[in-house]
Amino acid sequence: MIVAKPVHHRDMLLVKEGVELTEKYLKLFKSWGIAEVWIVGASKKKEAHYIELEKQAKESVGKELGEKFCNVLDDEVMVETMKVANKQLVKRALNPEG
Amino acid sequence: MSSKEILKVIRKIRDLPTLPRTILRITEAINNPKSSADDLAVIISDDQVQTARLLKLVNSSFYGFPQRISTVTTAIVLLGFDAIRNLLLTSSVFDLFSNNKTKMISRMETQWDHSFGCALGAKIIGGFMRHEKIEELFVAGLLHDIGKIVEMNFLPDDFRKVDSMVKDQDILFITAEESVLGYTHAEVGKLLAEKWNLPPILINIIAHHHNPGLAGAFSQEAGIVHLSDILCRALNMGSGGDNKMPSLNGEAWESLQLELSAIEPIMEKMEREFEDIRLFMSR
Repeated sequence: MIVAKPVHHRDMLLVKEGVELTEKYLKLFKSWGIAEVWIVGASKKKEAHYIELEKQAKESVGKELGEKFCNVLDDEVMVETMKVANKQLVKRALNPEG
Repeated sequence: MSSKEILKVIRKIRDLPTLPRTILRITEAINNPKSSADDLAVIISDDQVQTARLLKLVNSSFYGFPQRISTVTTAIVLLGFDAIRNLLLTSSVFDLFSNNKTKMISRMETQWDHSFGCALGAKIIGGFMRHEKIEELFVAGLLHDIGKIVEMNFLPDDFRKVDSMVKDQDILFITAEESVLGYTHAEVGKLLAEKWNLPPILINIIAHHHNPGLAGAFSQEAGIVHLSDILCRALNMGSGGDNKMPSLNGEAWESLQLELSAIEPIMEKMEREFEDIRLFMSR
Protein backbone atom coordinates (compact mmCIF):
# COMPACT_ATOMS: atom_id res chain seq x y z
CA MET A 1 0.00 0.00 0.00
CA ILE A 2 1.37 3.44 -0.96
CA VAL A 3 0.39 6.62 0.88
CA ALA A 4 -1.56 8.92 -1.46
CA LYS A 5 -1.64 12.09 0.71
CA PRO A 6 0.78 13.27 3.43
CA VAL A 7 -0.23 12.20 6.92
CA HIS A 8 -0.15 14.90 9.61
CA HIS A 9 -0.82 15.10 13.28
CA ARG A 10 -1.84 18.74 13.84
CA ASP A 11 0.97 20.59 12.05
CA MET A 12 3.58 17.83 12.30
CA LEU A 13 4.24 15.75 9.17
CA LEU A 14 4.37 12.05 10.05
CA VAL A 15 4.57 10.35 6.65
CA LYS A 16 5.08 11.85 3.18
CA GLU A 17 3.03 10.79 0.19
CA GLY A 18 4.56 8.05 -1.90
CA VAL A 19 5.84 6.09 1.11
CA GLU A 20 5.14 2.37 1.18
CA LEU A 21 3.27 1.45 4.35
CA THR A 22 4.83 -1.16 6.59
CA GLU A 23 3.96 -2.52 10.04
CA LYS A 24 6.19 0.19 11.54
CA TYR A 25 4.01 2.96 10.06
CA LEU A 26 0.78 1.28 11.15
CA LYS A 27 2.08 1.20 14.74
CA LEU A 28 3.05 4.88 14.42
CA PHE A 29 -0.46 5.80 13.25
CA LYS A 30 -1.99 3.84 16.11
CA SER A 31 0.20 5.62 18.66
CA TRP A 32 -0.87 9.04 17.27
CA GLY A 33 -4.54 8.05 17.16
CA ILE A 34 -4.74 8.23 13.36
CA ALA A 35 -7.51 5.96 12.16
CA GLU A 36 -7.51 6.65 8.41
CA VAL A 37 -5.04 7.54 5.69
CA TRP A 38 -5.39 7.95 1.93
CA ILE A 39 -3.97 5.07 -0.09
CA VAL A 40 -3.15 5.09 -3.83
CA GLY A 41 -5.89 3.23 -5.66
CA ALA A 42 -8.42 3.81 -2.85
CA SER A 43 -12.02 3.62 -3.88
CA LYS A 44 -12.83 6.27 -6.50
CA LYS A 45 -16.19 6.69 -4.81
CA LYS A 46 -14.53 7.78 -1.53
CA GLU A 47 -12.26 10.21 -3.35
CA ALA A 48 -15.17 11.70 -5.27
CA HIS A 49 -17.05 12.09 -1.97
CA TYR A 50 -14.10 13.91 -0.42
CA ILE A 51 -13.82 16.21 -3.44
CA GLU A 52 -17.51 17.04 -3.13
CA LEU A 53 -17.14 17.76 0.60
CA GLU A 54 -14.16 20.01 -0.11
CA LYS A 55 -16.15 21.89 -2.77
CA GLN A 56 -19.07 22.42 -0.37
CA ALA A 57 -16.74 23.57 2.40
CA LYS A 58 -15.03 26.07 0.10
CA GLU A 59 -18.36 27.47 -1.11
CA SER A 60 -19.83 27.78 2.37
CA VAL A 61 -16.70 29.32 3.92
CA GLY A 62 -16.20 31.64 0.95
CA LYS A 63 -19.78 32.93 1.22
CA GLU A 64 -19.54 33.45 4.98
CA LEU A 65 -16.25 35.32 4.77
CA GLY A 66 -17.44 37.39 1.81
CA GLU A 67 -20.35 38.69 3.90
CA LYS A 68 -18.17 39.24 6.96
CA PHE A 69 -15.39 41.15 5.14
CA CYS A 70 -17.59 43.00 2.62
CA ASN A 71 -16.90 46.45 4.11
CA VAL A 72 -13.14 46.18 4.65
CA LEU A 73 -11.62 44.76 1.46
CA ASP A 74 -10.03 48.07 0.44
CA ASP A 75 -7.27 47.22 2.96
CA GLU A 76 -4.53 44.79 1.84
CA VAL A 77 -4.07 43.48 5.41
CA MET A 78 -7.76 42.58 5.61
CA VAL A 79 -7.59 40.93 2.17
CA GLU A 80 -4.67 38.80 3.39
CA THR A 81 -6.51 38.03 6.66
CA MET A 82 -9.55 36.86 4.71
CA LYS A 83 -7.40 34.71 2.42
CA VAL A 84 -5.70 32.98 5.38
CA ALA A 85 -8.99 32.58 7.27
CA ASN A 86 -10.48 30.97 4.16
CA LYS A 87 -7.72 28.36 4.10
CA GLN A 88 -7.94 27.67 7.87
CA LEU A 89 -11.72 27.43 7.98
CA VAL A 90 -11.94 25.06 4.99
CA LYS A 91 -9.29 22.86 6.61
CA ARG A 92 -11.24 22.96 9.91
CA ALA A 93 -14.49 22.01 8.14
CA LEU A 94 -12.83 19.00 6.52
CA ASN A 95 -11.01 17.89 9.70
CA PRO A 96 -13.32 18.64 12.60
CA GLU A 97 -11.38 16.36 14.98
CA GLY A 98 -8.28 18.51 14.52
CA MET B 1 -20.83 60.10 26.64
CA SER B 2 -19.02 61.80 29.52
CA SER B 3 -17.55 59.83 32.42
CA LYS B 4 -20.21 61.29 34.73
CA GLU B 5 -22.98 59.98 32.49
CA ILE B 6 -21.38 56.57 32.25
CA LEU B 7 -21.01 56.52 36.02
CA LYS B 8 -24.78 57.08 36.27
CA VAL B 9 -25.21 54.01 34.06
CA ILE B 10 -22.77 52.02 36.15
CA ARG B 11 -24.66 53.02 39.30
CA LYS B 12 -27.67 51.23 37.83
CA ILE B 13 -25.66 48.10 38.30
CA ARG B 14 -26.18 46.62 41.69
CA ASP B 15 -23.40 44.60 43.22
CA LEU B 16 -20.78 45.27 40.55
CA PRO B 17 -18.44 42.40 41.20
CA THR B 18 -15.34 42.96 43.27
CA LEU B 19 -12.23 40.93 42.88
CA PRO B 20 -11.26 38.63 45.71
CA ARG B 21 -9.43 40.61 48.39
CA THR B 22 -6.30 38.49 47.86
CA ILE B 23 -6.05 39.59 44.22
CA LEU B 24 -6.22 43.23 45.29
CA ARG B 25 -3.50 42.63 47.93
CA ILE B 26 -1.34 40.87 45.30
CA THR B 27 -1.72 43.82 42.92
CA GLU B 28 -0.76 46.25 45.68
CA ALA B 29 2.25 44.14 46.64
CA ILE B 30 3.47 43.89 43.04
CA ASN B 31 3.11 47.65 42.60
CA ASN B 32 5.41 48.10 45.62
CA PRO B 33 9.03 47.87 44.39
CA LYS B 34 10.15 46.72 47.85
CA SER B 35 8.03 43.55 47.77
CA SER B 36 9.86 40.22 47.66
CA ALA B 37 8.81 36.76 46.48
CA ASP B 38 8.36 35.82 50.15
CA ASP B 39 6.01 38.78 50.75
CA LEU B 40 3.89 37.70 47.81
CA ALA B 41 3.98 34.06 48.90
CA VAL B 42 2.64 35.03 52.35
CA ILE B 43 -0.31 36.90 50.81
CA ILE B 44 -1.23 34.02 48.51
CA SER B 45 -0.67 31.31 51.11
CA ASP B 46 -3.08 33.09 53.47
CA ASP B 47 -5.83 32.26 51.00
CA GLN B 48 -6.39 28.53 50.57
CA VAL B 49 -8.57 28.98 47.49
CA GLN B 50 -5.98 31.06 45.63
CA THR B 51 -3.15 28.76 46.76
CA ALA B 52 -4.95 25.67 45.46
CA ARG B 53 -5.87 27.45 42.23
CA LEU B 54 -2.31 28.66 41.63
CA LEU B 55 -0.72 25.25 42.22
CA LYS B 56 -3.30 23.53 40.02
CA LEU B 57 -2.68 25.97 37.16
CA VAL B 58 1.13 25.94 37.29
CA ASN B 59 1.17 22.14 37.38
CA SER B 60 -1.06 21.87 34.32
CA SER B 61 0.27 20.62 30.99
CA PHE B 62 -0.13 24.19 29.69
CA TYR B 63 3.11 25.17 31.45
CA GLY B 64 4.73 21.77 31.01
CA PHE B 65 7.19 21.97 33.91
CA PRO B 66 9.07 18.67 34.15
CA GLN B 67 8.61 18.40 37.93
CA ARG B 68 5.64 19.02 40.16
CA ILE B 69 5.63 22.48 41.79
CA SER B 70 4.49 22.09 45.38
CA THR B 71 5.05 25.51 46.98
CA VAL B 72 3.78 28.98 46.22
CA THR B 73 7.31 30.42 46.55
CA THR B 74 8.64 28.06 43.86
CA ALA B 75 5.76 29.00 41.55
CA ILE B 76 6.55 32.69 42.06
CA VAL B 77 10.28 32.23 41.42
CA LEU B 78 9.68 30.19 38.27
CA LEU B 79 6.97 32.35 36.71
CA GLY B 80 7.64 35.82 38.09
CA PHE B 81 5.42 38.33 39.86
CA ASP B 82 3.52 39.54 36.84
CA ALA B 83 2.72 36.06 35.57
CA ILE B 84 1.43 35.02 39.00
CA ARG B 85 -0.76 38.09 39.31
CA ASN B 86 -2.08 37.65 35.79
CA LEU B 87 -2.80 33.95 36.28
CA LEU B 88 -4.80 34.51 39.48
CA LEU B 89 -6.48 37.64 38.12
CA THR B 90 -7.74 35.99 34.94
CA SER B 91 -8.82 32.88 36.79
CA SER B 92 -10.74 34.99 39.34
CA VAL B 93 -12.40 37.14 36.68
CA PHE B 94 -13.54 34.05 34.82
CA ASP B 95 -14.92 32.58 38.03
CA LEU B 96 -16.70 35.81 38.99
CA PHE B 97 -18.75 35.87 35.83
CA SER B 98 -19.13 32.19 35.02
CA ASN B 99 -21.15 31.62 38.20
CA ASN B 100 -23.51 34.50 37.54
CA LYS B 101 -27.27 34.49 37.23
CA THR B 102 -27.44 35.63 33.59
CA LYS B 103 -29.83 33.77 31.38
CA MET B 104 -27.58 34.42 28.39
CA ILE B 105 -25.34 31.45 29.20
CA SER B 106 -24.51 30.37 25.67
CA ARG B 107 -24.03 33.99 24.58
CA MET B 108 -21.57 34.45 27.44
CA GLU B 109 -19.73 31.25 26.52
CA THR B 110 -19.19 32.39 22.94
CA GLN B 111 -18.06 35.78 24.24
CA TRP B 112 -15.50 34.10 26.51
CA ASP B 113 -14.29 31.97 23.57
CA HIS B 114 -13.75 35.18 21.62
CA SER B 115 -11.80 36.60 24.60
CA PHE B 116 -9.65 33.45 24.84
CA GLY B 117 -8.92 33.75 21.11
CA CYS B 118 -7.98 37.40 21.47
CA ALA B 119 -5.74 36.63 24.47
CA LEU B 120 -3.98 33.91 22.50
CA GLY B 121 -3.61 36.09 19.41
CA ALA B 122 -2.19 38.97 21.44
CA LYS B 123 0.39 36.66 23.02
CA ILE B 124 1.37 35.23 19.62
CA ILE B 125 1.60 38.64 17.93
CA GLY B 126 3.66 39.89 20.88
CA GLY B 127 5.94 36.87 20.44
CA PHE B 128 6.44 37.71 16.76
CA MET B 129 7.36 41.27 17.74
CA ARG B 130 9.59 40.06 20.58
CA HIS B 131 7.55 42.28 22.89
CA GLU B 132 8.64 42.40 26.56
CA LYS B 133 5.20 42.19 28.08
CA ILE B 134 3.73 38.98 26.65
CA GLU B 135 1.92 38.18 29.91
CA GLU B 136 0.22 41.57 30.01
CA LEU B 137 -0.81 41.21 26.38
CA PHE B 138 -2.44 37.86 27.15
CA VAL B 139 -4.41 39.29 30.08
CA ALA B 140 -5.35 42.38 28.08
CA GLY B 141 -6.68 40.19 25.29
CA LEU B 142 -8.69 38.19 27.77
CA LEU B 143 -10.20 41.28 29.40
CA HIS B 144 -10.57 43.56 26.37
CA ASP B 145 -14.33 42.96 26.11
CA ILE B 146 -15.01 42.74 29.85
CA GLY B 147 -17.43 45.62 29.39
CA LYS B 148 -19.70 43.35 27.31
CA ILE B 149 -19.64 40.72 30.07
CA VAL B 150 -20.69 43.41 32.57
CA GLU B 151 -23.50 44.58 30.27
CA MET B 152 -24.71 41.01 29.75
CA ASN B 153 -24.83 40.31 33.46
CA PHE B 154 -25.85 43.66 34.93
CA LEU B 155 -27.54 45.66 32.17
CA PRO B 156 -29.43 42.84 30.39
CA ASP B 157 -32.24 45.01 29.01
CA ASP B 158 -29.79 47.44 27.43
CA PHE B 159 -27.73 44.54 26.15
CA ARG B 160 -30.77 42.93 24.50
CA LYS B 161 -31.63 46.17 22.71
CA VAL B 162 -28.13 46.30 21.26
CA ASP B 163 -28.23 42.63 20.31
CA SER B 164 -31.56 43.13 18.48
CA MET B 165 -30.21 46.05 16.48
CA VAL B 166 -27.11 44.05 15.52
CA LYS B 167 -29.28 41.17 14.26
CA ASP B 168 -31.78 43.41 12.46
CA GLN B 169 -29.23 45.58 10.68
CA ASP B 170 -26.20 43.25 10.52
CA ILE B 171 -23.86 45.90 11.90
CA LEU B 172 -20.97 45.96 14.35
CA PHE B 173 -21.83 45.59 18.04
CA ILE B 174 -20.03 48.82 18.92
CA THR B 175 -22.00 50.75 16.26
CA ALA B 176 -25.25 49.49 17.75
CA GLU B 177 -24.07 50.38 21.28
CA GLU B 178 -23.29 53.95 20.25
CA SER B 179 -26.64 54.27 18.54
CA VAL B 180 -28.85 52.62 21.16
CA LEU B 181 -27.06 53.36 24.41
CA GLY B 182 -24.77 56.33 23.81
CA TYR B 183 -21.89 54.46 25.47
CA THR B 184 -19.78 51.44 24.56
CA HIS B 185 -18.45 48.33 26.23
CA ALA B 186 -14.95 49.89 26.06
CA GLU B 187 -16.08 52.71 28.37
CA VAL B 188 -17.85 50.30 30.73
CA GLY B 189 -14.80 48.04 30.76
CA LYS B 190 -12.52 50.97 31.55
CA LEU B 191 -14.61 51.91 34.58
CA LEU B 192 -14.60 48.34 35.87
CA ALA B 193 -10.84 48.04 35.34
CA GLU B 194 -10.34 51.28 37.30
CA LYS B 195 -12.59 50.04 40.09
CA TRP B 196 -10.47 46.89 40.23
CA ASN B 197 -7.30 48.99 40.38
CA LEU B 198 -5.80 47.16 37.42
CA PRO B 199 -2.47 48.42 36.01
CA PRO B 200 -2.67 51.37 33.59
CA ILE B 201 -1.62 49.20 30.65
CA LEU B 202 -4.72 47.01 31.07
CA ILE B 203 -7.05 49.97 31.69
CA ASN B 204 -5.85 51.71 28.53
CA ILE B 205 -6.07 48.63 26.32
CA ILE B 206 -9.58 47.82 27.55
CA ALA B 207 -10.62 51.45 26.97
CA HIS B 208 -9.02 51.91 23.54
CA HIS B 209 -8.80 48.53 21.78
CA HIS B 210 -11.06 49.91 19.01
CA ASN B 211 -9.02 53.12 18.66
CA PRO B 212 -5.48 52.27 19.82
CA GLY B 213 -4.03 55.70 19.05
CA LEU B 214 -5.87 57.06 22.09
CA ALA B 215 -4.04 54.71 24.48
CA GLY B 216 -1.09 57.07 24.90
CA ALA B 217 2.01 55.26 26.12
CA PHE B 218 0.27 51.92 25.51
CA SER B 219 -0.79 52.54 21.90
CA GLN B 220 1.35 49.73 20.55
CA GLU B 221 -0.04 47.22 23.08
CA ALA B 222 -3.58 48.41 22.30
CA GLY B 223 -2.72 47.96 18.63
CA ILE B 224 -1.68 44.37 19.26
CA VAL B 225 -5.01 43.57 20.95
CA HIS B 226 -6.83 45.46 18.18
CA LEU B 227 -5.21 43.26 15.52
CA SER B 228 -5.74 40.10 17.57
CA ASP B 229 -9.45 40.95 17.93
CA ILE B 230 -9.68 41.11 14.13
CA LEU B 231 -7.79 37.85 13.55
CA CYS B 232 -9.81 35.83 16.03
CA ARG B 233 -13.06 37.17 14.51
CA ALA B 234 -11.79 36.05 11.09
CA LEU B 235 -11.12 32.57 12.50
CA ASN B 236 -14.58 32.34 14.12
CA MET B 237 -13.10 31.90 17.59
CA GLY B 238 -16.26 32.45 19.59
CA SER B 239 -18.23 35.62 18.92
CA GLY B 240 -17.98 39.24 19.99
CA GLY B 241 -21.70 39.63 19.29
CA ASP B 242 -21.74 40.56 15.61
CA ASN B 243 -20.91 39.10 12.22
CA LYS B 244 -18.96 41.88 10.54
CA MET B 245 -15.26 42.70 10.51
CA PRO B 246 -14.25 46.06 11.97
CA SER B 247 -11.79 48.16 9.98
CA LEU B 248 -8.13 47.73 10.81
CA ASN B 249 -6.76 50.95 12.28
CA GLY B 250 -3.99 52.00 9.87
CA GLU B 251 -1.83 53.73 12.47
CA ALA B 252 -2.09 50.73 14.78
CA TRP B 253 -0.93 48.40 11.98
CA GLU B 254 2.03 50.72 11.22
CA SER B 255 3.03 50.82 14.89
CA LEU B 256 3.37 47.03 14.99
CA GLN B 257 5.92 47.06 12.13
CA LEU B 258 4.81 43.61 10.99
CA GLU B 259 5.14 42.39 7.42
CA LEU B 260 1.99 41.30 5.61
CA SER B 261 3.56 37.84 5.38
CA ALA B 262 3.40 37.52 9.20
CA ILE B 263 -0.40 37.27 9.13
CA GLU B 264 -0.46 33.65 7.92
CA PRO B 265 1.93 32.12 10.50
CA ILE B 266 0.26 34.11 13.30
CA MET B 267 -3.18 32.83 12.35
CA GLU B 268 -1.92 29.27 11.86
CA LYS B 269 -0.42 29.30 15.36
CA MET B 270 -3.66 30.70 16.80
CA GLU B 271 -5.60 27.88 15.12
CA ARG B 272 -3.24 25.22 16.49
CA GLU B 273 -3.28 26.49 20.10
CA PHE B 274 -6.86 27.67 20.54
CA GLU B 275 -8.31 24.44 21.89
CA ASP B 276 -5.50 24.13 24.46
CA ILE B 277 -6.12 27.63 25.78
CA ARG B 278 -9.88 27.03 26.05
CA LEU B 279 -9.29 23.90 28.10
CA PHE B 280 -6.70 25.62 30.31
CA MET B 281 -8.90 28.62 31.08
CA SER B 282 -11.94 26.44 31.75
CA ARG B 283 -10.24 24.54 34.62
